[in-house]
Amino acid sequence: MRRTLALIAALALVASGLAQTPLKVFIGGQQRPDVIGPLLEQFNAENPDIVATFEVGGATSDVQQQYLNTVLTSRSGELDIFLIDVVRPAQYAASGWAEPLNQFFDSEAAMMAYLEDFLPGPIEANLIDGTLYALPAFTDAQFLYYRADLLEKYGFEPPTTWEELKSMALTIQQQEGDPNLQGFNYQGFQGEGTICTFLEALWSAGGNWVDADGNVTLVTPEAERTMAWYEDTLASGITVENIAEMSTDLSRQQFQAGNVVFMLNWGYAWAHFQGNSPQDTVVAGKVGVAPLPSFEGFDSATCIGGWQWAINPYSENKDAAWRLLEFLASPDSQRVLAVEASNIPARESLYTDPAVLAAAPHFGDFYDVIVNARSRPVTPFYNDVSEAIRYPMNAFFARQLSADEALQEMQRGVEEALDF
Amino acid sequence: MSAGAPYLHKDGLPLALTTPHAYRRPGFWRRLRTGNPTEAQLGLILLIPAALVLALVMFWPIAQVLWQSLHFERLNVPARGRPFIGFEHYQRMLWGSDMTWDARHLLGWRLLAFAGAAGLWWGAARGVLRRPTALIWTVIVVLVAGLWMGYHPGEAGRWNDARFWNAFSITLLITVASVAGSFLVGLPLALLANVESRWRWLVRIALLIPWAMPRVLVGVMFAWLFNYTNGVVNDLLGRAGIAGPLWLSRAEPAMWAANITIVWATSAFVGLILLAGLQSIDESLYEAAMVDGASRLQRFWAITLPLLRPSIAVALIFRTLTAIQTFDIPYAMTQGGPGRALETLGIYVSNTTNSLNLGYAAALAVALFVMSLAITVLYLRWIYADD
Repeated sequence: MRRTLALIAALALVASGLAQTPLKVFIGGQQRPDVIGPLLEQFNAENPDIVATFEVGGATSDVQQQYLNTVLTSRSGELDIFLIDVVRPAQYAASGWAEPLNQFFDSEAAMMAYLEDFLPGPIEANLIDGTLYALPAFTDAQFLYYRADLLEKYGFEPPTTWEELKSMALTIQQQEGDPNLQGFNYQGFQGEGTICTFLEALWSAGGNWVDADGNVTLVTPEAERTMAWYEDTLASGITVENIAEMSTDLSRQQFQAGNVVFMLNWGYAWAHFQGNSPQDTVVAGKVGVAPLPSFEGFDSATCIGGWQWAINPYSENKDAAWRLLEFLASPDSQRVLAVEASNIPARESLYTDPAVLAAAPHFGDFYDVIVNARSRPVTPFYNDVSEAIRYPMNAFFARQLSADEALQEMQRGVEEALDF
Repeated sequence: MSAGAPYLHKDGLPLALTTPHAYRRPGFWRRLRTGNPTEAQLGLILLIPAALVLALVMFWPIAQVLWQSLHFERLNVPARGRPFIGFEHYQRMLWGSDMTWDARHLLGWRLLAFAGAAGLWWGAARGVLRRPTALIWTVIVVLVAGLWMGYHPGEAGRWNDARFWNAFSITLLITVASVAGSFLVGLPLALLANVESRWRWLVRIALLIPWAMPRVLVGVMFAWLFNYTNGVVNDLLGRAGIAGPLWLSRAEPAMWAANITIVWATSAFVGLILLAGLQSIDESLYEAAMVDGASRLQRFWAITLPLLRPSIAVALIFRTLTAIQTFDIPYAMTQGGPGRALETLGIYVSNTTNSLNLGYAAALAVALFVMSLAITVLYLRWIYADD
């Protein structure tokens, strides 16, 4: 009798296990598994028929992408949902690596109504020719960080043009007399941040990498003005000579050590400056955030960042995956991510949410920058285009290519990348 | 016709048709069936599992990469499928537009290659190398350096893939510099670790630690040491009154920094192999030499170096092969930058794969494979020259 009971119990356990749909979510080490984990537990409690677990791999956008390349090239359905960088959806759409999400809505109008609350930038990246490939998890942008204490000391307001930035930086450097104090720090290394360095100044000169007809426009007066500006940052001494090795996190650390007046960087740096960081901070409470400067007479612009939830087209549990996706993209989940992980919300309504503003008051300042953030090239060949811009830029900072040579190399490289 | 022709059987038939079949060794399959294989056959049979495993994990992937390199395959252009395109990738890799032939093109490098071939003949004459080996390599050098290296894009042309040639020369440069460097540092280390002393254990631990460290970690660590503003290296140079260079922000210093790092990480390996070789040298040889009044230097040249040759060869093979495939340290230090100053073939293959251009990445991987294979064959023939 006892054995029979045990057998029945075991069978029941197996049956209940069979009835539950397993879901595997893939995130990177930088995306706060300690916050995502409890979110999934909450989802599992609310949805007894689904068991969602997560897998962590890679701590940078590039490494995470390399792992997903392997999984998706082998058409594995082992992961059901993954986070992808905002530059990826176009490539995922072309490769058939993200399940179109239109099917989960009753109508196109219903879909557009659902997307209304999201910021336009991330939606622009995820909605490709009317097909939705992913939902924004959180967003990001490059900001102008400045030393509020130093600006106040010399009676400056945050600069609105690059010229202003230069003269303020020079004044502060001279008056402070500290040889280690950098006026202006940005990313010039062989990596993703460098494309933003180039594009942000190009956009703020009224240019773009491509014109309305799709012609590559990198040898133009606007682009030349961009290069002349960066040449000037080095010549005037507001930027250090080793800018060619300046990676995103190296920039952040130098600012945090009190060695920088102005810096371009992503939203994650804020929390570090306030003390939530493995390194010591000497700038807690002394940091301000402003929109990027521009050239006189043109609008300021910045690069959009952030991460998207997508469904693996090889997944066997797409309906369950959609339910989880909806949960993760919901205002409640994004509020949790904003409050506990300082992720910048992709939903407009959260920028006036009292809980969010109480935990992250700076998001109020971020909003004006975030809404004007622009996309890096939206193309299935993003890696090639990115390489074609970042290499000449890095070589220019390393004095291997002159400004003109770098622009010609970019023009040729981007054209070649798009002409396959 | 008294006794009949001797070549005829008594029945009048030719002898050859009547004699019973001469004894024939049973065939391979028959012996196998009867459970009575010869020793050679048995050896062959026992080799089959190992050969199968080798074929599965080595030759099959190599064959697949070769096959893939002959196909167009870009995962972000799935509409185009995976058509066979022959040698198009290799043409892109090795050729350019408006190609012209000029005897003076790359003259220095070509002369260097010819000098290398002459060196092989010198080695053959001294019995260090077999003549056929020297001959084969001379033919290769004449074909590649004599004929092919004269081709280059003319005024109006350019290489199809200048990035490949950059990666190729960066790889060669790192290989030559870092292999030479790791021997220059590794050999003294091994000699030091072989000296009887109370502190020998310390030297041996120092030999092991760099080798036990993950390379990526070494790269990240040295990137910090070579950092222009906060790095230890420039701090020390500054104290000595020398203005440190922009190590990782300029092409030439970056090459030095990468090679110094690679030598630091790999000379320990060379040292360990050479130490093993040193310990197998018979002490009595040195004693005899001392009785004969040989100086330290003479003992080193006449005993240590020649007897160390097999160990040197082993260390050289492994060191050169890993050097040709260099990826981790330059990637961790600068991601191949500044510009493309540290972009080795390994890094280029990785970048191309990550751009999802699998077909071309396969062709680049084949180029890397051919380079490694050529070096291995040369070394192996050199090691076995005496046998």
